[in-house]
Amino acid sequence: MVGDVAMKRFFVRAALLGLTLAGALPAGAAGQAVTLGDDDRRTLETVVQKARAADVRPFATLERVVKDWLVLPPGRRHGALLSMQLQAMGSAGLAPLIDALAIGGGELDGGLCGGLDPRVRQAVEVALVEALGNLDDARARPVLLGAFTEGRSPAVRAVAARGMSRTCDDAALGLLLARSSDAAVEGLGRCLRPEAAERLAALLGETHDENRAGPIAAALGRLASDLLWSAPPRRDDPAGPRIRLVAARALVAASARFDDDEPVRSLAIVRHPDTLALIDEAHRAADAAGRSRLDRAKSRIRLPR
Amino acid sequence: MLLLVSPGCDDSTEGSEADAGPVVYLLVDTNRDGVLSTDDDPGKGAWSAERGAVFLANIDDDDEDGDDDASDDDVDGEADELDLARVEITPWLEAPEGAHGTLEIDEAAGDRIRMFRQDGTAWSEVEAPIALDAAALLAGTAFAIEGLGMMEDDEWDGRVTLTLTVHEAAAKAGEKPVAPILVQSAVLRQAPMVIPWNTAPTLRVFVSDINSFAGAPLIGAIDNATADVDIESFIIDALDPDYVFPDQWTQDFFEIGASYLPSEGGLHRMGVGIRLKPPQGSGFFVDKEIYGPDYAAIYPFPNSYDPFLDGSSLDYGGNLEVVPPHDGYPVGRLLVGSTPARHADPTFFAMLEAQYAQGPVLEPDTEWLIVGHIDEVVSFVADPSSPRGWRALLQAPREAWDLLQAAVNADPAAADLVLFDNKAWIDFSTGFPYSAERTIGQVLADADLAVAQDVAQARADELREFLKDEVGLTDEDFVELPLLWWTFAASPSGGLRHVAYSPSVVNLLTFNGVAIVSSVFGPVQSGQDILEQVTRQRLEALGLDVRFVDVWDLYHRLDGGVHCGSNVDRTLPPEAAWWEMSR
Repeated sequence: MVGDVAMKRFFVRAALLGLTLAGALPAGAAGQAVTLGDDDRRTLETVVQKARAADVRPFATLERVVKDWLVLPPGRRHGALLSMQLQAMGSAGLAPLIDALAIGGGELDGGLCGGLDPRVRQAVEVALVEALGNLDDARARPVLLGAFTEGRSPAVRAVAARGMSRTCDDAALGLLLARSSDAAVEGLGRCLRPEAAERLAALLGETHDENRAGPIAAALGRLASDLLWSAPPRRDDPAGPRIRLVAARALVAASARFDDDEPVRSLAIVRHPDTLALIDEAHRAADAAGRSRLDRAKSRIRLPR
Repeated sequence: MLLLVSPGCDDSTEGSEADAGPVVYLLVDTNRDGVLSTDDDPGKGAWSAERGAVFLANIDDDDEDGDDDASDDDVDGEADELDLARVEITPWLEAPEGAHGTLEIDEAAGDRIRMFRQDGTAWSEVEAPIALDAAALLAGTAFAIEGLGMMEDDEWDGRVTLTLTVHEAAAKAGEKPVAPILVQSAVLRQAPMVIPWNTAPTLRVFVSDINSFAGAPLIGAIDNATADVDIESFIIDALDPDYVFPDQWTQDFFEIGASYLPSEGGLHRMGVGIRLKPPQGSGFFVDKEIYGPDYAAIYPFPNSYDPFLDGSSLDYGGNLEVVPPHDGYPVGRLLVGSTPARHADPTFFAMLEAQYAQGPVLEPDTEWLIVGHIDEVVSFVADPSSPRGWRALLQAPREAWDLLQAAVNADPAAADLVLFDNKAWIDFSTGFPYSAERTIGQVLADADLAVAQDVAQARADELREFLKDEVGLTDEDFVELPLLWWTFAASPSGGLRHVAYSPSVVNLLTFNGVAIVSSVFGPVQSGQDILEQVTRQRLEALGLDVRFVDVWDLYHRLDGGVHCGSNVDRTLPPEAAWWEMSR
């Protein structure tokens, strides 16, 4: 009984997120198997072969989960549901996910997804990439990099970037820094390195588009969050103060330039102790509209007592 | 010809001889005392916060025939008579032979109401224009009005103008029409559906029984608390096949408002059950169990409603709350979480706005939430010590985090204390549980959780400022309760959305001095739950009898809390005058 009810409530959750998904998928942009370099392909083929030899059941589980999802009524076939079901496989899902996305190749190009509506096919791809990224396994990185760099849909690239940023090694950081897409912004906001903050600050300073500034400011706020850097594992990380100050400066500047709530909201998330001083400094240099926006920002910031 | 006016009359009565009274009065209950008299004459030609008659949409089912009372042209019994607004044309004792009159209804409202004419104890439907002969004028005539349906949108604001024209004599053939000796107008307005607020008097408390062990604690807590304060509890049989599937989200699938008609004994109430959660079956509870004598049932959504394209969960009852009465809003103000990008269904929202007494609807931004309900982030509770008589509860995620950190700072060993001991999340792919237990140290080390608290706090602060700006609250009107949040990472292209990580203490049920609150299962130090004890202290300081209840399995881990799992039928306090709104 509880299991049934659990699914019913999830139905609601999935419905909400499904709206986002549906809006994100450009019609006609079909997914294809992720291309790997020769070395990565050989390495991952070995990973998949060994896993399959050890226990074939996770591969069957993945296939079953996707097939079960595909036969849901269209109104309930939400990518969020599939993603959560794939993630529930845990680490056992690594090899099947890599196989489905990059090695077998047949799953996306045919097999499971052959003949599907492109939107549905990409929903599967998004869910596979997201599930793979959330495993936090370095072996998944080449697949995530491939999914991020190839000409895929923004939704696929966003989840790939998010997955890469969970570890954010030099290779991932390099790729994220080299791009300015929404997906890159999403990834940079989770990459706990000063270079990420500086890149986001630069992107925020360059843009004159309020719709673009909001997501960048949100990413910057997340990256420089007060509690994120005051919690024990990161409290003494020298990157923290640098990231936070870069973020606070950029967000104050953006708060003077945009009416959108996000820069001010992100300032409240960062809660840098110098926020009010930075606002005062910016206030002196701002025009009348900027001063008005900064006054509003100042009234909304609650700093630690 | 004699033209007459009433003493102190306004422009509703045309006349010219100041010392005499009018030959007749067209009376409606302008002074809202439930009795028709000449005291109702002044000001009857306009409708304002101070004066103006009221009528009800007569959409309950007093005769229990399964149809709205207004769906036929009969008055359906004595109980139904109470739902009618009275209109009277007083006797013209010296009406000459040939005198006649006409009672008209303004064109815009004509198809929205029905009029009955009284003959002895019988009522019969009459259609405007209503002709009145000399005998009728001589004896006087009683009428009654019912509204045929809810106000649905801004095309009609509920006003009806009745106009009585009286002639002393009929025009003779071939002569000019005789000018009237009297023209009077009276304005009535259909009563809005008012949704009572959390601190309004409680009639009964609802909770769904889905035949699950996990639901038993909340049912028991509600049963006990209602018995303690002598309130009826209503346990919904959620396994009823008419409801399609067992739905434990009692708050979501219906709401009960009410319309109020001034009557001699005080306000006459007609409850209005709103079937929500379209198009799911659980809302049929309203039709099956609420609808009947003195209770209407409405479904304010288009037949074409698509839960994936329309408002979806924003059209659930958990997203429909009321800020209790405050300056300019004697029956409070509706509060509906939404954003331009994610908004309640337009048809539903228009209906809410059309109920003019509690609007314009306040719409704080709930975009950041997974479910999106306003009851996830704010509650209103009674506090007799407050000048307002109530306070707003907000979540305090940073404080929750700081409490955990403070415990570790005071004793590093506290890092090993466990949150959510012996509790489990649900694996949505298999239905099987997996452990929710985490130590304080693990929680504090979790980057995603850390950011989630900062985001949730920023949103709480925004909501506080919103309520200060829109309602006039001050910082003293808020009580903060520690509550942890987390994010749901399955949204591939949009921003992350949030839901309560620790059981929501803001999402509580309160009535008659009792607060039923989700047990937090926070870390226990020196025999005290670090998080729960703060909530207990703050709610008890308001004079509330605080009762924690385990709702983890059936509600919390499925994105809800005590409030989501319960519902309350409330009524206006006797002194509430919904018409005194400032609009």
